[in-house]
Amino acid sequence: MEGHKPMLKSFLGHREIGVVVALVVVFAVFFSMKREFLSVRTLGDILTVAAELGVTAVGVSFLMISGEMDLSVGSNFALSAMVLAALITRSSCSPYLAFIAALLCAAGIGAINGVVTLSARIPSFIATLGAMMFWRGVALYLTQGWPISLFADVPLVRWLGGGMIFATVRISALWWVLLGGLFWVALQKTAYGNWVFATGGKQGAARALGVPTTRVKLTNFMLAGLLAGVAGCLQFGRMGSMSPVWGQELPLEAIAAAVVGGNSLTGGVGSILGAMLGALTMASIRIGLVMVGAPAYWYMSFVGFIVVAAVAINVKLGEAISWNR
Amino acid sequence: MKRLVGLVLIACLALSLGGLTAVTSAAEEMTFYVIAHTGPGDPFWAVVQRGVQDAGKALGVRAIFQGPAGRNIPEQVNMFRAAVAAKAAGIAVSISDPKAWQEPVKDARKQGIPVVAINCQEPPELAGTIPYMAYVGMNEYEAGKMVARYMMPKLKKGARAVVAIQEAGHIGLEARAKGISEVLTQELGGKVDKLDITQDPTQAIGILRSYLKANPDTTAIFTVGPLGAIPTIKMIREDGLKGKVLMASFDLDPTTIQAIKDGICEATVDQQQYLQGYISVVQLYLHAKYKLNPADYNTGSGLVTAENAAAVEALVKQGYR
Amino acid sequence: MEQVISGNHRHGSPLMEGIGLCKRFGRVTALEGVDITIERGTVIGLVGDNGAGKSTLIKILTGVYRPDEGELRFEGSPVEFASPKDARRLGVETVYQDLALVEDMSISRNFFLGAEPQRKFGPFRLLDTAAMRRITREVLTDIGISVRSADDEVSVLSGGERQAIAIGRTMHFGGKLLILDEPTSALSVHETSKVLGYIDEARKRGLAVVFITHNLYHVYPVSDKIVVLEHGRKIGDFRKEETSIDDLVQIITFGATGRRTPA
Repeated sequence: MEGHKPMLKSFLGHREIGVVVALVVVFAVFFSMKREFLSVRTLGDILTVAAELGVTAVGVSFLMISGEMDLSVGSNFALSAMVLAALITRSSCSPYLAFIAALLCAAGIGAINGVVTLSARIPSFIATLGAMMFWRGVALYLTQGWPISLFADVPLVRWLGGGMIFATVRISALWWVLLGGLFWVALQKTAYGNWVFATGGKQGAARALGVPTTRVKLTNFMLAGLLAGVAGCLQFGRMGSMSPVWGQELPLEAIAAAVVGGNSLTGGVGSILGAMLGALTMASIRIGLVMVGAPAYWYMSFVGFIVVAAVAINVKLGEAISWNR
Repeated sequence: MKRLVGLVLIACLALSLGGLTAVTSAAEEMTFYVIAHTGPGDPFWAVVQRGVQDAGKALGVRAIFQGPAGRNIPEQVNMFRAAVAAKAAGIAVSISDPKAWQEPVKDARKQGIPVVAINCQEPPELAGTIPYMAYVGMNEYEAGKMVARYMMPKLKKGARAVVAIQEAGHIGLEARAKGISEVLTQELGGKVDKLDITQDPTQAIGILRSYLKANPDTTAIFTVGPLGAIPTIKMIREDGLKGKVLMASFDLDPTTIQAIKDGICEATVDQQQYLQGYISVVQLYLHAKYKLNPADYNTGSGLVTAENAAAVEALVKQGYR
Repeated sequence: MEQVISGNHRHGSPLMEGIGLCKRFGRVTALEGVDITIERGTVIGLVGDNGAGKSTLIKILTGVYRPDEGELRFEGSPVEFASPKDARRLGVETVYQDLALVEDMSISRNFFLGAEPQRKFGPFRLLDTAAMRRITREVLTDIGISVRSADDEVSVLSGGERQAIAIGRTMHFGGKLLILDEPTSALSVHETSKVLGYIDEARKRGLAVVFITHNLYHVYPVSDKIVVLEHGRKIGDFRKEETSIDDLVQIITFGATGRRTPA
């Protein structure tokens, strides 16, 4: 293991190997069955799907590394985007203010999750399960179940995901890479990132060394919420419509992407890059299965298989590394 | 360690290929996609899938029906884009959202891929904003007119009728109601009221009862779907209104069919979704092969009455209606 | 041993004192009227059974609890700790048995946890990872342990190595008082003697060390003073040269039959 090139090593730890293998296999399989799978157009579509899932997965994995979970990201995704959609279409409010309101809503839901989890001392799995149902209900009530569509051409919406770059890649993919990069730096290259790892890895030790673990968790709840809201706005940007029932599978998909990418469910371990590659793998499966004409229901089975396979590879590699010393 | 990774890799490949070769064996011939906002897990769409598959078999082409597990439009859009990327010979799609489909359909047409709409369309005020070539589905407004005309001979001139709608504002349901009201007022000179009975069956019965109390001259109730039909049928049974108040409805479901057999409900409109799958594939095939342009096709001309209820019920069980 | 005693003479001035410390939790008295004097350059063995009040005493010294009665003095002047942070600021560092290090993090990230060196990068402050690696390696080599790479995760290290890193961290960050909670409880004989070596090294550098243990045989060889607690009271406080290990075993086993220090 010492022989690794330091550059590569600093990016790809052994925790990401599982997802890299999964991604290569997925690409190889689909390419062998359908040549069009490796086209600029397909890659653009995959990136579009990966972006909305991936932005959420980045926030969720950041939170997971600090030892907490958020199941309400799907409801947050829908509600925050509904706030944006409703303010743009039904009020004279500036789209930029509407966007800020949507982000505040998203971060606010995250903050409430954090406060409830940390002050009531209940597992975040339960606190955010409740939040998931509660906010979904709020979104449904406020809209009476109806979707909101935007027919006017609003520049902000184009910038969120409606627009394309070089006619192939959606702007949402750029946001994803940008946000992913930002969170990668925050996690790997800042003192705060060190605290995040320590908080999830061993909260008692972190606290004993003066890390404000409660504040770290609260911040991460807010960030996970914020990114879920951003993802919702990206989807609204792409679709021009937002429905209060969208994003229901998002929490589990985001957690799956994080886990495929080497994140631990119990915290302390994980990688933003891994979660992003996990989202990319899942998006590739989604697009690839349709392209080869397989029944779309295979998607679930495939993702299930990949989750287990990628994590198994990671575990085995981890063992191999400890044997080698 | 390397061997382990290799093993896992091979296992992945084997599993994936094993599962998928079956569907790609008919490679590189014309492939048509029908992409709905809900998949074949829903009995309604399972019938559409049947139509798609039968058309594919009959024509000797690959015809694939796809849809998300539950109603999910973003995922439907993703599937549509994947079908475009796969260079489909033609795609049929349910226009499940008036905005979300504008760009994807435009983009597909720009790629030279023919697109036909099935099952649902954008509302009339947005007609033409989505460039599909034809619509294969029930024309809700025409279907409303049809069922009203079927009922006309059974009603007196100037009779009072009520159209019960369970989801006020729903574009498709409102169009059905509009067709009914227009025929009854213009051709029968009837007094027609539209009633929002909500989706709650208990409330629905309460609302209908108080309407009938206030308007005892009412002789017909039209419901626009099973959610309205089920409480109405229950009320007619409980209050012994059979024969005094006639009823007609939309869509097939066991309660409605039973009510038709019992003589409580006169007729229900079947949108014959099998045709939506079958005809859209046929039209796309003919376009791909002979450049014949797809044309609008109203599948909603099937009326289920006491005469054919038993036969239709059998076909429902076989998965064709 | 000669060297240790001479070290005492050089560094013997009191660093921290607790006078009449009491702590109650509801109706349970965890600590009652305990005095303790911790001198620079000495190792104090704090022994006693489970529930004797060892950890309550330690938590008062490190600012986790505030005493209900009594006074803390640091370098001669009274202090009050509102939180562990206050205690750390004065140089009171604690190495908990299971909570010293985060296993899934690298050695260098652990080493600097809570006190990360940063460099400016435009408006941002980023970790100085190069410095973290370099300093970690230097300090560890200095106290006599070698690791393959400062990037290795702590989980691959032995229990003794983990203690060494925690002790090294305290010394590096200018700790004056090092409190070790059961540092040898889960270690092999060989590893234990190594850790005792690190403790000796810390004393030579003038640190005061409080070593908490059930195992008298671990603490005896390295300590200058032994304090025995029982049921929240101090029942013994000896300089090592005043007593023998057999006397101590007697005291711990049968209670306060030895010389009792006046309260």
